[in-house]
This record gives sequence, structure tokens and C-alpha cells, in this order.
Amino acid sequence: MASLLDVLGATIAGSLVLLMIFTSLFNIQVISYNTQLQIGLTKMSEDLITGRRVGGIDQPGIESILSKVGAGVSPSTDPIIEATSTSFKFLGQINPTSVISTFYFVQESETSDGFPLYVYQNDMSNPFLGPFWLADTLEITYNDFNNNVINTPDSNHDMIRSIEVNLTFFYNTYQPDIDKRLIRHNVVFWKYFKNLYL
Amino acid sequence: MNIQMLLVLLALAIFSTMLLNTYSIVLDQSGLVYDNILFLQGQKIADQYFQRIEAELLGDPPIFSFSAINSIYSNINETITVNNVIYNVQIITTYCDSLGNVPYADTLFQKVDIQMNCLSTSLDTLHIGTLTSPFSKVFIYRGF
Repeated sequence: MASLLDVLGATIAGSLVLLMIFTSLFNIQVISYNTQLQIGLTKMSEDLITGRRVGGIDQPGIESILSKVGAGVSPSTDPIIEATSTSFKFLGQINPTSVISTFYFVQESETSDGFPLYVYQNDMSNPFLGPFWLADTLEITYNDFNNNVINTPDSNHDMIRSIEVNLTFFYNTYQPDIDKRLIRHNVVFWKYFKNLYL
Repeated sequence: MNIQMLLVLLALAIFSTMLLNTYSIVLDQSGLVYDNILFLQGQKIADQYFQRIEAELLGDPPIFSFSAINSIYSNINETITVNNVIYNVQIITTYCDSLGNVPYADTLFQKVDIQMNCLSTSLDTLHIGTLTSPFSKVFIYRGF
């Protein structure tokens, strides 16, 4: 009887230890994987905002594109075409020898994948950047030269001097747990339109 | 208590220590990643101030003169909240030479130093730019 009790005790203790080992390994794997996803998401976000080099070709980032607002545009022409919280359309020149282009930075309607963010140049049917999937709607805030928020930017284009862009990117997580949370990465950046100050 | 039981307890103690250590390392790495995200956001906040000062010095006449920038931003303490993280920002302007050296200052150049801090994921204070190594940019006088 004593031997039987020893065996049962050892089995229970062994099972608990094994359970602890497997649970721990699984948890460590989940934390590591989610951390890896967060790194990838952060890198992708930074690439999108500041630009990147792919296959020897430089791809401009959103910051670079936004710095073209009003570049080369005659003072008699309004360089801003549309300014809402989810879209910004403007005129600008990529470089001093190029023609003036129309750029459109827009978050389109929500789909099952999230909110798609696109950047268009001249051709408004084929984006040259995007889609980038956002967890929440794009939030663009427009400021005047005193850094005060403009409440109705689309009817006050002449007051706009800078914008604050709030983006939240996301990834799916490791597995469909009942309490799973998406991996999110929120970025806020500012762009001052220096051509509009001149 | 026989020897087998002691060995089992010893194995459990060693295993638990290893496990806690492994957890600690993984969580430390995760904390580093999240702290770096705070650093990246901090850099964007500092860039916002540099862009703003640069823009305010543009135009004919500019929004603020070179000397006005020096007094407006001479000692600013502000807080900015991004994604529920509070960044305490401190800005200091000083006249300097073209290389940013303060001892040889003249009024043709001024240096804007930005430092900030916020709470890290481990709830320690995370310094993004410090008093001795701030984000720094030198601006030149353009005649206004």
C-alpha cells in the first residue's frame, strides 16, 4: 500500500511539474512572439513615416511627402484642396524641375481588415503607397501659425500652417484567445509646412 | 524524509529559479522594446519643436525675430500627452557660435536644447535627451 501511495504521489507531483513546464514554455513563447511582432510593427510604421530603401530605390515617407505642401505653387493658388480629419489633399512639387503634383493622403472606408490608409499622387485611382491598415480612424489636426487648432480646416485653408497626424497601426496576436488584444502601435508626428510660412 | 524526496525538492527549486530567470529576461527584452517606442515618440516631439522654431524664423518678416525666439524658448517646461503617456519637455535656448559652443557665443547663432522624460514600462523615469546630452539644433540669424 505504501508503494502504491508513493507512485500516486510521484505521478501527481510529476504531472504538476510537467504542467508548469509546458505552461511556462508556452507563455514565454507568446511573450517573445508578441514582442517580435511589436518590433516588426514599429519598424514598418517608422519606414512608412520616414521613408525606406527597397531594392536600391528610395521610397519617400509620409513626412517627406507632406513637406512638399505648397512647394513651387504660385502664391495666387490655394495649395490645399481638401483638409479633413481623415484626408488631406494638396499641391506640391517633388523637386525644383518637376511639375506640380496633386497628393492625396487619405483613410478610406473601414473593411474587415481595419481602416485602410492610402497615399495618391496625381492618379487618384491607383495609390502609390498603401494600403496600410489602421486600428482606429486617422486623426489629422490642423493648426494655424500660432499653433492653435483650426476647428473647421476645410473652410479655412489659408490659416493652415501645420498638422498633427495620429496613426494607430496593428497586427493580429499569437492565437485567438478569448481575451486576446491586438498588437497596436500608436504614432503621433507633426509637420510644419515651411512653404506656407514664406 | 528519504533522499529521493530531497532530490525532487532540490530539482524543483533549481527549475523554479531557472524559470523565474528566463521570465525575467524575456520581460526585460519586452520592456526594452516598449521603452524604445517611447524614445521614438520622444524624438518626434523634439522634432516638432525644432520644426516650429524653424518655421517661426521663416518669412519676411518672420513670425518671431531671432532675439524673440531666444527669449520665448529660453526656459520652457511643458507636458505633452501622447497615447496616454505624459512627456515632460524642457527647452533651453542659448546664444552660441556656429559649432554650438556656448563659451564663444555671439548673437548670430543660437542653440535650442530639448530634453524630456516620461514613465517607462517598468515605471522608472525614462530620460529622452538629458541635461548634458540633449536634442540640440543650432539656428542662424538671417537678418531679422
